[in-house]
Amino acid sequence: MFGQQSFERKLATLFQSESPDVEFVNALENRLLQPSSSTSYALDEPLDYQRRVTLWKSVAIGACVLLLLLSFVMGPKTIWASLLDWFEVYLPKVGFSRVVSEKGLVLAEKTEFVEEGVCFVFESFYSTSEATFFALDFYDLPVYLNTSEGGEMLLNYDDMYVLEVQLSWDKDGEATAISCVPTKGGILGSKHDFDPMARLQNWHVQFECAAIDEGVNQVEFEIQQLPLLLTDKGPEVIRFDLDLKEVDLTELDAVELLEFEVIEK
Amino acid sequence: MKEKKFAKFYRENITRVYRYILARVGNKADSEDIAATVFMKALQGAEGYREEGKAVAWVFQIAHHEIVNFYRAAKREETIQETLLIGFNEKLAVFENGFEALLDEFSLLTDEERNLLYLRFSGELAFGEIALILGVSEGAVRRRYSRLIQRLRAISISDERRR
Repeated sequence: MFGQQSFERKLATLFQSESPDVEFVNALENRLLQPSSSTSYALDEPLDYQRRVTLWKSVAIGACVLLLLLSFVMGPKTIWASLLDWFEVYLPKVGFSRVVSEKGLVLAEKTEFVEEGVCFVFESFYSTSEATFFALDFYDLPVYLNTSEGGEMLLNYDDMYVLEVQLSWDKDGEATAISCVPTKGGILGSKHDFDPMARLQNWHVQFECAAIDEGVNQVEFEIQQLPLLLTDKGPEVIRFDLDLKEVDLTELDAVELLEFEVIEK
Repeated sequence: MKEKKFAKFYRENITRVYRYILARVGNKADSEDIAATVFMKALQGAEGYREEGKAVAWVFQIAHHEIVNFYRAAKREETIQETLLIGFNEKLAVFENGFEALLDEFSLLTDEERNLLYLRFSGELAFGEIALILGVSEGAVRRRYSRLIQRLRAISISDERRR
């Protein structure tokens, strides 16, 4: 019997193939970098390319003209508000979402916590008075914690990614995966059970979210029946103190809003 | 991409792109033809290609499409056994036991699972690069990969125990 890494090495050997001949590599490089090369190949579809450029130019000019006309008729502020309403905000690792708050808390940077050898990585976290979104990854779950019976093995052997939890709300405020109920003025104290993965039926994570108005930046997870976190006292509570920063969404222009990024470490 | 940049990109990536193609096609002459086409197409598109960080993923995407076209033109199906069995005897030695069941399981892999193994082991790509190629998150790639490896390993182990 062999370990996971050893097995992967064997698979790698199985899938290995030869390197290209040096002559072939050099010959192809010469062929590619001949002055005529790119020209001749670029000539394959010159008309299509020109047409595409012209088409996109026309579309862009048309949209600008339309916006200008609408601005005169309806007023620029109304147009701007409609546009913002039309486009949802893109939240990295979360996707598009309709966030209309003026204030919001965002994760200053990707943050990792290690609890009992398990690495929890917050990829992103956004919280407004309407919704809370976060993407949390778990890594390094050791092999002896494999609780699955039959069927799929849920945990792994070699420091691999295991599961990803993502909270989000749909447009009607209903939980699409796991969520906190929105309340005016923040969501401190809201505790909700959720099951991060339907297949892990015994996992319940209570989530206590950050509140905007109170400026709390703590997220509390109570993980029950997760073997590694179970002690003789019962389920452990893991607290994550996230470095959240408050942002005024209205001060960001549309581009910033759409390119809102969590700073990578 | 300027000419010098493209030359650098070519030198950095030709080996793993070629290996990926050879692993999937299984024959040297066809692999060279496909690799040449891939880099020609990459050069054609390089002018308008600005996202350099994703260039590797992009060229592997081209390679994948070219391989699919190759099999379509040849009117035959891509099978993992056909290509893996090249150099079979030497490769078999690394497994000792548990290989035959694994080989059977390979035939049940979906195209995506098969491609994941090729990208990882033949193309020697990082999970982040594979994620860009497949258009999913790195986490999703890691998850799929982990499950696949565990499945194959479990099959291999149970076959080994039976013997």
